[in-house]
Amino acid sequence: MRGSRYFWLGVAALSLASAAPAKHTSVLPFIHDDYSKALSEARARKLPIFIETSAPW
Amino acid sequence: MKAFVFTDASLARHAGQFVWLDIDGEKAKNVEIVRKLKIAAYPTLYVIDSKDERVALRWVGGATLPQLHKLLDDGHLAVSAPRSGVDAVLARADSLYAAGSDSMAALTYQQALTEAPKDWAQYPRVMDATLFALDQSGDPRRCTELAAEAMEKLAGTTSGANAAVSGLSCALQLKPEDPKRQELIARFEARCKADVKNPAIALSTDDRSGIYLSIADAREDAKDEEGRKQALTECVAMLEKAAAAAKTPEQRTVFDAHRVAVYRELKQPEKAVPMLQASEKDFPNDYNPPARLAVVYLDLKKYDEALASSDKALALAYGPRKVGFYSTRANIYVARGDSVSARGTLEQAIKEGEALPEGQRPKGTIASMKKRLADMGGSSGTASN
Repeated sequence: MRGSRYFWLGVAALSLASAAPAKHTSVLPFIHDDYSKALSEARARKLPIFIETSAPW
Repeated sequence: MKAFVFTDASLARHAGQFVWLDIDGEKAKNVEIVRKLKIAAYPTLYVIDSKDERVALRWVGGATLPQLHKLLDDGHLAVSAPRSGVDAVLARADSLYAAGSDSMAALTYQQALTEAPKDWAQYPRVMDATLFALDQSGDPRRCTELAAEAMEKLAGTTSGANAAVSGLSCALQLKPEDPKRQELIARFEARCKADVKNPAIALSTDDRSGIYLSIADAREDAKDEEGRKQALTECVAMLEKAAAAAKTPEQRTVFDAHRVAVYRELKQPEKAVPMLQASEKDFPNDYNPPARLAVVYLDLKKYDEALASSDKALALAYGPRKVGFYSTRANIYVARGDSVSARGTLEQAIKEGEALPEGQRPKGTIASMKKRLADMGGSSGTASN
């Protein structure tokens, strides 16, 4: 459905849906675009990984 | 979420519970993890057990701050607590959902819901995932049944509002001959109309605009053009108010996509030009403002400006998103009557798209471009960008 909640998720693959472009000050120590580094660190610290996947549109 | 949720100081209490990773799914360097996670939409949030890289939890879409706190608490439990009974069923459902097995996930979540105690703390999250899985697996009838139940149990909450809009989306997908279709649409639409204006429900502005768009869909389905316009007009007024209240340009641009989409729906694309020009000025390295301007200028039949914006967007873009931008460019050439350049643009897009690695290759876009090229009479003999 064009206007559904899922449209606004799925439209990400189409054209115009949004996420912010960049440069926000997170209070959490995010590693950027490096799964291997996150996995190594998580195993060393015996922690799970939280991943936010997004695209800059 | 980056602009409004992850900036909240209250999240600091979770800082030591996870290793935090953000992934831009468009970047080539992330192709392996994108393929592994089978991402269906952006944003999607995951909790991964680092011992075996099992996806312990998946959340599709943005989350409000309270939802994120709950998700993080649940995610921490999902990888640390031993599971039995309904928790074990839920863990199985979460794994299926994470793997993108929506039909099986929906069935297993429903098993968990059946076995769960009354007032189960997991009910809102599980219902949200179940409704999404049912929507994705093409079972709108069951989706409406569960959404109706959840809408009442969770009335006045974020998850209750999500259930109502999910139910409306599913009701609109029911076959026209379904005897309950109209009744269900009316019921969900009424709740959506109440929820979208209820300030006591914690919903992001994007969530509210999504609800307005669903209401507009329902009005369109009812062939009520005035009602559709009213929903869209209220939506854009809310978006403009939120944009005006934004504290930073980053926060303001979050609303650009929805504002553009609604102005285009209202056949008022010219109203989107100033805000996109402002965003372009604030973020000269972001491909989104020029890409959106190209679309809007095309609507306005300002083809030279549309091509200039398309040039800027293509110079900044990368990955599968860039391939999609060529479609707009081809549309501009078609509108100008330049079919040779339109075909050349599509050829270039197909070439670049097919060169992307598996997992990033936009197969659907490439297929539709090939069909379009064939419909236009095949190769141009030249390439163009």
